[in-house]
This record gives sequence, structure tokens and C-alpha cells, in this order.
Amino acid sequence: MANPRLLLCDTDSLIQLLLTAQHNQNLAPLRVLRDSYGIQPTIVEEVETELMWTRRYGSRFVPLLKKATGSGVIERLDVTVLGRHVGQAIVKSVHSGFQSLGQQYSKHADPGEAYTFAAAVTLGVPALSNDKTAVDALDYNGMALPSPVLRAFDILVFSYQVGALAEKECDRVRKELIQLREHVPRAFQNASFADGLAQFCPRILDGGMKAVGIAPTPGPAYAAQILCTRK
Amino acid sequence: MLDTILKATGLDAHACAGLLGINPVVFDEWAAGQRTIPESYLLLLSDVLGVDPAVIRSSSKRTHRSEEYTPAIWYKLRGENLVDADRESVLLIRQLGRYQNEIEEVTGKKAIGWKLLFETIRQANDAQAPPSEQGRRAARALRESTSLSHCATGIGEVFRGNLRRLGVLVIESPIPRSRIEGCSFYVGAHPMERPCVFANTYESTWFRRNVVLMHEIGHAIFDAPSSGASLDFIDSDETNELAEQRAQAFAQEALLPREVLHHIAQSHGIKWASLTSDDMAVLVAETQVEQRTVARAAVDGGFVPAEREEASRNFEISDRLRQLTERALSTAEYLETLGPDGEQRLMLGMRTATIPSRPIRLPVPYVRGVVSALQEKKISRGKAAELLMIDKHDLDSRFGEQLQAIAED
Repeated sequence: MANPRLLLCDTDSLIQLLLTAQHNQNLAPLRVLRDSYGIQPTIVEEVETELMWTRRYGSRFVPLLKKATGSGVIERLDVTVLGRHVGQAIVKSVHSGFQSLGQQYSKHADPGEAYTFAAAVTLGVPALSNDKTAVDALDYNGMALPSPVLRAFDILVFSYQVGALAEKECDRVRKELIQLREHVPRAFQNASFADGLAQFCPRILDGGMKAVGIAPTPGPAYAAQILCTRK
Repeated sequence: MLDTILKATGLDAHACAGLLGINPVVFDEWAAGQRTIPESYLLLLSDVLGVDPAVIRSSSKRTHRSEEYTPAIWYKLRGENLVDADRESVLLIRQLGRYQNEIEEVTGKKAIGWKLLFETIRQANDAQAPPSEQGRRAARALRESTSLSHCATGIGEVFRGNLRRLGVLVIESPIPRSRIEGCSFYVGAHPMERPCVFANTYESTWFRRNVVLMHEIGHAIFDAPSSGASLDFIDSDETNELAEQRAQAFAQEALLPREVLHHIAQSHGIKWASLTSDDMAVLVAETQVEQRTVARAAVDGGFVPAEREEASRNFEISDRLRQLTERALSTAEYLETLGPDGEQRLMLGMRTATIPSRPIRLPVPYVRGVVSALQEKKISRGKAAELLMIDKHDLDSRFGEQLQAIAED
């Protein structure tokens, strides 16, 4: 199965990656996805707006976000970018379908979540979101969900598996997120990165390398595991 | 176009960005047309400003004159008596109106009873009748159709709930630097609009606010649909205006009809001919209406001669009133009477929005509705935070215990 072309990223999960940029070698997890696997981390305009100012962190992420979008590590989804993926012939109808889906989703989820999920569903690519309640609310209300919905820790574990981040760096990220009272998956809340990994089922792995974490069990499509191939 | 629209509304771009929780630099770029306004924010701006999304996104300033798109409410809000705090509070209230529509939509509890009631009252109104008579008739219609007429006592404790069940947005929040005492206007885009009545709680009593809110309902029925907004100022005496006379008569009749005043006086053995300050305290406590309105109603009802109205208004009743009703207590005193879980029941400290640069206190039923929608998986944590105008961390710290059962991954 081919690697997904895009990964639509929501605000909360990106905040975690931006907060720990000093430990994750300046967004190495996102860079490796793009450079080695051809998976372009992408944000909708709503997420960009949310990242530009948050109540808790103010405009702290603006410089790093600008750097990431400037270098292409993160791409903003607009009509031009969309056209590259779906073709110019249908770009307008796809864009308007995505906006309309986003509007529907936004009845149940905040703008960042809603438009991120809507874009991922429209393009048939995975999403990156930490908020399980958004998945639950959309699912409960009969909305289609991206498959899979990755969490920030899936990206961290993936980076560890492919050697982009050392275990020590991943554990620093974990510790810092806990210190900042950011959400951390249960497996890692009271365990080191290595110990937590033994209880964690990652949703994205390199299929050509030795697997880490626990093996997937049957579950909803949003929790499916994808196996990627290095370019 | 956004910058032109903001100028027409009298709102400052940076203040607007702060109220909506948007980076001011980004907002400036939207206003200047240098950055596309994302769809969801465009719809939000359209609702809070009352301007069509296509006009906001339009790049041509020449094709539209400000009179063509500026909603009437913003014309009213540019008046001399108004300060930035007033305009900003109205923007926030309009945002809350949008969110109220959203939560009702996802919970399937759309309340539109006000439409039929207000329309029925307007249709039955005799525009040739004296304004105070128009107000009284409308108030009787309101009491009858909302079963408030069954109450032989004051309705101060119950009428907010009745109005909210009809779909009226009732907001009480402090605006310290404002001269606005109350206002009414419509929020939400047509055909989803709903009436909103607002009372400034800053240095005001609950008894006074009952009158203010009902006065604003009178305006919402008769005046706000055509004038965009009705504004009432602290210590203003504009009772000569037709609309003010009508709204005041409406408030008095809705809260304190003659038969209720008569019943309360009789059941407490009050002798009108020898009315004392203690009697007045009882009347205020039982009617749940401020002293001034009680005194006026006593004169209008023929219980007290007009020449004694001022004396009745000036009775010193504060000490006695505090013994009679906890509504006359200060906030701290009132909380003590509620016991250890009082603060939680009133959701104190859990209702003030923190995202906007200007705080606004959200109504208890609205906050409860949002939290229960989250518990029932109808909305996400992010959506709940958006609707409560706080961030997810505030949501967790305020409602963490109630949200523990929510799935975590």
C-alpha cells in the first residue's frame, strides 16, 4: 500500500511538537515524514490561525510555525495545494465540498479539528489529532472519520523507530509535556518512553523496519495501523 | 472590506481580534485583505458583525457604501453616550447568540416560541392606543401565554427561565465602565435570529435587574426589530419617549400587575393608608421588584395617592429587606447562606469567558447545556471550550470532575 501523500495536522498535536521542538530536533518527526516517506504534514487555515494565538501560549509559536511553513516542513492547505493533489479540473468542487464538510463537522468539533478532519476525509489521508473527544463526537453524530487518526505520540514513536529521534530525546519530550500539563497517552503517563512503548500500540510504523510497541488488535478504522515504506 | 466594515461599526480592529481570540497581526492582515479569512472565521465574523460573508470577503470598497451593509445596531452603538466597552460587549453577546444557536442545533432543543408570541403581541397591538396601554396589554399577553399569570406572587425568580425556554437570550454581566443599564437587540443571521436582552450587573441590584430585563423584553417585542437595538442608560429619564413609556408600562405590568400587588398586600395585612417602611420592604421582597417600581405600581393601581409616591420610593428599607430575602444580600453573604456546595451550584468562577480580552459571564443554563452536550458526546472538548469561550485547559480545570468519564486515549 502506498504511503499517504498528506498528513492533516490539528492544533493540539502540533502544539505538542512545537512545544518540544528543542528536544525533537526542530520538528524532526515532521521532516522525516516529508523527506523520507513523502508524507507532507499539512494544516488547514483554521489550524494556522489557532496556532498564531492561543490563550495559554499567546503568540509563542509564530516564529517556529513561520519557519516550518517557509521551509515546507508544514504546508498550508489552500486551493493551489489542493489542486496539486486532486488536479485542476476538479479542484474547485473538491474545495467547496471540503469547506461544506468542515462546516458540518464544526457543529460538533472546534474549527481546527473540524476542518482538519474534513480535509483528511475529503482527500482520503490520515489526520493528526490528540483529541479523542473530537473523534467520539464526530463518530457519535454519524460523520465520516479519517483513517487513521494519529496522535502526537504516534509521530514520536515513528521517529524513534526510524532512527530520527533517540530514546533519550523521546523521553525528554514526554517529560516536558507532562510538566506542561499537556495530554500524554495513558501508557506514557507514569512510565518512561521505553516502558510506555511496551504498552502502546502505534498507528504508524515503517513496515520495512523492526516493529515497536504492541501489535494492533481489531478496532475502529480511525485506530488502524498504517505501515509506510521509505522512499 | 473588513477594515471598512469595522470603521463603520466603530469597533477597533485590535480590540475585535482580542475579543475573538485571534492574533492581532493576523486580524490586521484579514482586515487589509492581505490574507484570506478562513471559512469558519468568516462565518463567525458575519454573525457577530451582522454583515453578509460575501461582503466581508469582497475586495472592492467602491461597490458598497457603508449604509448598504452596516447593520442598524452599530449605528445606534456609535452614539455619544457609548464607550468602547459597550460596543465590545455587544460583539461578545452576539457571539454568544451564535453559540446558543449552535448548541441548540446539536442538542435538538431549538427554542423558537418567542417568534409566535412576539408576533401575536405585535399583531394584536393597537398602535392608536396610549403607549402605556400598549405596554400593559402586551405584558398581559406575555403572562398569559407563559403561565406567569398563574403566579400570585413575584415572578423575579422564574421569568428568566420562562424567557429562555421561549428562546430569548438573557444575559446579565458586569460592564464596569459603561453607562448602559440594559439593552435589547437581535442576534444571529436571518432566519436564525433571536432576541437578546442584556442587563448590566455592575453596581445594580437583582430587584432592579428584574425590571431592566423585562423593560428590555418590551423593547425587543416592539422596537428592536425595526430600530436594530434599544439601549437604556443608567439614571436616564427618557420616559417621555413613546417607546420608553411603553416598555416601562410593559415591565411594570409583567412583573407587578395590580392583582398581584393587591394579593401580596392583603396576605401580609398591609394597610395602604398607613404604609410603613417595613411594609414596603415586605412588598419589595415578595414582588421581587425594586422599590421605585412598587411605589409606581401602588399609585397606578389606586392603592396610594400620587402625592405619596415619592415618600414611598424613599422609605429606607435596606436593613429590613436583607432580613426578608437573601436576594438583598451581598454576593459574599448570599454564598454563605447556600452552604458548602453553593458556589458549585451557582457555577461561580466557572462561567466567565477567558478567551475574549473583555470578560463576559455566561448564563448558568447555557454553561450546563454545553457541559452536558460534551458528556453526551454531542460535541468535542474543543467545541465545548469554543462555546464557553475558554481554552481546553480552563475547561479541564473548571469541569474536570464532571468530565472524568470521557474517553481518553
